[in-house]
Amino acid sequence: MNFVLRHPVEELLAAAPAEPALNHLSVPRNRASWSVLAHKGSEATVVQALAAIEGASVRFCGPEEWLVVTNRDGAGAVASALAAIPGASVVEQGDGRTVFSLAGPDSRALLAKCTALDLHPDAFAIGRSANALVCHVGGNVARVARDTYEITVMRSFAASFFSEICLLGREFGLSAGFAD
Amino acid sequence: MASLISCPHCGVRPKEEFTIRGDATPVRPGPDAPEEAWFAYVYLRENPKGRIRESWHHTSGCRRFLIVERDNVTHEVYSVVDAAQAKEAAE
Amino acid sequence: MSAYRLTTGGLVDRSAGLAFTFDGRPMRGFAGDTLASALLANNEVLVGRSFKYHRPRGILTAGSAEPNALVTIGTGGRREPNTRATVAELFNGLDAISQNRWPSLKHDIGAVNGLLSPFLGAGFYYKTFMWPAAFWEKVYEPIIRRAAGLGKASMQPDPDRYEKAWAHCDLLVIGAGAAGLMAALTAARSGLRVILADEGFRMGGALLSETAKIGGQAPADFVASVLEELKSFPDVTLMPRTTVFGWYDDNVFGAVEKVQKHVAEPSPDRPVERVWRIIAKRAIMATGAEERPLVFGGNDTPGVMMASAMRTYLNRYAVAAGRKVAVFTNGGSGYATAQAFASNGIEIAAIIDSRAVVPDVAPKGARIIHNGGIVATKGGNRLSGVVVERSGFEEVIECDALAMSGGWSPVVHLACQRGRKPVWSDEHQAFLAPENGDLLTPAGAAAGLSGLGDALKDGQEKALAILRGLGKRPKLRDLPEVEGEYDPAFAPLWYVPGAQQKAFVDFQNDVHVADLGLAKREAYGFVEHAKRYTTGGMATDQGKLGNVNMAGILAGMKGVSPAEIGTTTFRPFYTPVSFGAMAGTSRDKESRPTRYSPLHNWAKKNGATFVEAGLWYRSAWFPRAGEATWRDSVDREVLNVRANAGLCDVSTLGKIEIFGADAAEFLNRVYSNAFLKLPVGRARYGLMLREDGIVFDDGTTSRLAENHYFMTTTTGHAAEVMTHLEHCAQTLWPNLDVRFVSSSDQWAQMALAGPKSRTILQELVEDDLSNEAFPFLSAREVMLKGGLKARLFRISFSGELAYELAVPAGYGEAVADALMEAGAPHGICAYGVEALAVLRIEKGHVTHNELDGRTTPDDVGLGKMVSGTKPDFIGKHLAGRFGLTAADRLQLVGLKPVDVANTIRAGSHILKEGAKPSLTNDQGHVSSACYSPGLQSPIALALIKSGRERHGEKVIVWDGLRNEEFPAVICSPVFIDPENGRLHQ
Repeated sequence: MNFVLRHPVEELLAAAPAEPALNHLSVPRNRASWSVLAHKGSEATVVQALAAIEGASVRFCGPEEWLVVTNRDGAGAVASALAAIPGASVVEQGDGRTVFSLAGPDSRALLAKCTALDLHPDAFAIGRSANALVCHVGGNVARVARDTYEITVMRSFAASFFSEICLLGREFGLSAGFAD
Repeated sequence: MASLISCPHCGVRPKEEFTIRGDATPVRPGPDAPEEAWFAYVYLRENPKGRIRESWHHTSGCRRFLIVERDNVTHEVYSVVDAAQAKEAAE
Repeated sequence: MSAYRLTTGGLVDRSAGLAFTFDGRPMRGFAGDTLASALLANNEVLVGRSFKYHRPRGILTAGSAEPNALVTIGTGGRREPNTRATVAELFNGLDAISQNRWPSLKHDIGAVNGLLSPFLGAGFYYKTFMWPAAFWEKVYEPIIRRAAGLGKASMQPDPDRYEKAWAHCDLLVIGAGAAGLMAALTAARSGLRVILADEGFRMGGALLSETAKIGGQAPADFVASVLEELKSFPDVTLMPRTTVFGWYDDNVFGAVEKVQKHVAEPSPDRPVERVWRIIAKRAIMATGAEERPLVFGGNDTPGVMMASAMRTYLNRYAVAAGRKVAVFTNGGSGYATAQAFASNGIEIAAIIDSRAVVPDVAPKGARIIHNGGIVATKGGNRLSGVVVERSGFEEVIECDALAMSGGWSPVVHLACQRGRKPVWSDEHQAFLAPENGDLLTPAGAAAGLSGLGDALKDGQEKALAILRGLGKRPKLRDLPEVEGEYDPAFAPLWYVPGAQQKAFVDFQNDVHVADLGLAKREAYGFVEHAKRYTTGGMATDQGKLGNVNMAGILAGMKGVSPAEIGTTTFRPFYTPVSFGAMAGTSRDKESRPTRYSPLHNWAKKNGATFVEAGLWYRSAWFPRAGEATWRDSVDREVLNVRANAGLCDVSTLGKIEIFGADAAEFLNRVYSNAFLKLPVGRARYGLMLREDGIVFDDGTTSRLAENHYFMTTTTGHAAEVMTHLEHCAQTLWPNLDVRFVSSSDQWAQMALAGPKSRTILQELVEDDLSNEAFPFLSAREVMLKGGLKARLFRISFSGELAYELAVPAGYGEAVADALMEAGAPHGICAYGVEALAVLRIEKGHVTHNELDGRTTPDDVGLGKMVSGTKPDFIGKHLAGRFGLTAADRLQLVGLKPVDVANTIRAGSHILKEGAKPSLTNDQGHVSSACYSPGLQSPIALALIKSGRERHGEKVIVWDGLRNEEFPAVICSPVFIDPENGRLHQ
């Protein structure tokens, strides 16, 4: 049997234009992610081990908890690397978390309408990430480039988040489309 | 009530990200404690004016329980610490 | 006698003419006008009727304190009542109508209220309409509401959008007048992140109304050059049309930005209003000062206006309020206004100055009456003259406009919103902002300073102090020189004696001096009481103009200083904020986020009717052609599950992955039943208690590996259980090695129930599912054909042979489709939560209908799940209390009507046969009820006193809401298969 993967905003994006505007919300379908939990006393070694993993981004969620994000094609290698970290427990979240990538000159102004995080470059530099309320749902915001952010929300909230950020983005001519 | 809480793990965040879980001072009695101790732990609360210790859960952030020491008259926040770290430090 | 537009001057764009209507009459104005300035330019002096007496009222101010010029703007869903014409930006196509008048503004029948004024004095609500009591709701109140009211709200939905946003800065400057501009510039030049917010659509504040030269420039040019420089800094944000309305804890400010209130057809791409929450390290309150009215007889006749407002209309909008203008003043502002009119060639009827000694600043040739006062005004809908009294002699002076100035009150509202009261200053004869540390600093006129030069200097100095406080090195530049400014000094004058007409203190609420006297006589002289008794300081303007005079007059009556009278309490909001703005995007269906199951689309394809369950949409039932009611569908689904098989979406259950060497010990402490010895590969039903011994939640936990458990919770308590576990792990037992994370959204979970479920499932699963290989309560990872890993649990809520299959959420729909396809030959159907409820009621399984926060495990027949041997678990210690173990507690039973035609409804109460309904006779209540298609009878679960001993007893089911009662028989709560044979087949 061959089961087809379904994305939580599939229906909402079906009619959207493919041509990205200056400000664009790109929706990758192929992200894989894991919650990584460090057990008591292992926090430092887990942090070190996570930093050494190639081809994946490590997002801070809370003390002793991270979300590791990569693409599905490289997922096997990352999964084995994570499984090998001593003192860590790993939970697959690739289907449970939905990633959105917001890019464009107005991305910070748009996110000011979504979250209370101070995204001034001095306060939230490239590489920083944090769990926060985003568009009324709990999520993780990461700055991946000067004007590019990745927002990760729980799958069940993805449609709600997507509708709201698109509505708030109309002011900036935000376009949206699947990345792959 | 405070508008902002400085979470020791996440930084300054608005109160909307938190849930207040009540008085942080009662300590859960040991298994052999008398019924009166359990009754006091579950039901009896002081209602002080001024400086209080409260449990705040960072629901939309790191999901940690925090001990917020604050003034319920002036709303000044004196300190915010992780509950587990506070307990370990006390023991 | 008319107001008119000057042929030149002002800051309006004469090349951009705008058309608008007032009470249906077409008029024209210019870009840069407010509605008020445009109305004046069209010689509309009468703009509204007062609240109580329906007196004719004209424009009084040129700003946000306006009490009179309240109009309704817009039509249909965009209709907005009580808009201050003085701050409403004029746009092409604006439709304004006057309020509180019938049948028309000029001929208002309600004005007879004025004749009734002896009955409408202070406290009239409390005294006049006391008896008979029943008359209040039906007679008095509706009449008063109709007669004494402001505008009417639209009953249509608002078509526009609203938003909220956050902003962060080092320094928030509130007000872009002289002090604010200089403060913002000083801070910006030294590298701070600055937000400059101003309520006006054009920044500059009072500067735009003045004619003094600043650094050799006209004030408007000076403002433009400062704004230009501010815009060059990347970390400076200018926020025009933004009113900072509230100051909250931790230096968070609330502000509302009017994004598109000045256009006829707002773009749907942008909100019309946006609420900002501004997190500021420091703030400067440069909110200026409000000119005080003088309290004299007839001071509310249209044509009487604040002196500074007249200057604003003249200098900023090039609109003259009259052709022959009288001035009544106690200080410099009146003279500045006289000068402004004189320099435009407009006649000054007289300057009446309450002071004995007056400075020589009047325009040449103007008549000055010092030591004088006005005791009455002439004209009804429009001023035609004033009666001046001086040394006992009266004189009528003809004029068509009167400028009044009673001195200045710093605008300190924001600084008083967090508990501190304003402080009276004898020197300033005004209330000043209280000391608030360095978080919020008043500057310029808001700090009690007078004059442009002082305001510029103060703005700079306050910004420098903040820079130093933040550890920044300030970059200092010279201040521009100010030439030709006037001295606004004044001598206090709270009210003018000898009034021959009503002398109003609060224009909006029609509170006059006599009302305050009455309030004092009737022992409501304390300022907070006087406010409620007279309504002074209430409604949309919140006493911005009147409150200080009210304090001064009460002080005079009591023979004390205004310091002893004080002020009423200041609270947000500074000016009215629409509900739409406060709701932002959270309205209608979007008032809360919506959660969708990964099987939502599968359910939709199968024709589901959805029901809201918390934030979720769940499939309730799946109607088919020919089914007339929901019951038809539910009955079919139930019978089909019992006969064949059904598939139900249970993805909404909470799911938690638990790890650690102490995970078993942790579970053993949070569940009331034993968990230490659960073998790997097995699931166990678990019961969680609250610390007070009451049931909290139930669910299953499976041991997937030695130190890895998988917990499911109920849908409704998923978040609460997660938080409870976090509380236990972090604050109770932080030394246990246990870590957990929610995986609720990772898994699409489906219940496959019915005698044919194994056969169907086996077609998709590689692993052996025989009863021997995969017995009841097995829990393991399995492989689906095609190589997809899944988790399979043999658990049952329906009482049938059943499984719960969890697959990665993205594949949920595909797997559910495959199961439906594989099950088709076996008669599978999709079933929803209604059928699920019937199945579990038939089996006697409890949900939160029974676990309602009052029941113990024993109450619901789960007493055996409370371990007697564990030393400690949550709820153990108080579970054994006398009250929780009493013999007559409500216990879970089943219930069947004697006559199957009687439908049992949840919430009905149980009575003994022959007993009258009463609290004493109450035997319990129905917690869950349904129609059992298998038993062909309504059935129910109920909580009844000592119920387990009463099986077989006939009782009465009493529904007080529907006034129904009928007999029913108590029975076992397990209606089908009490031997559990189906579970294990």
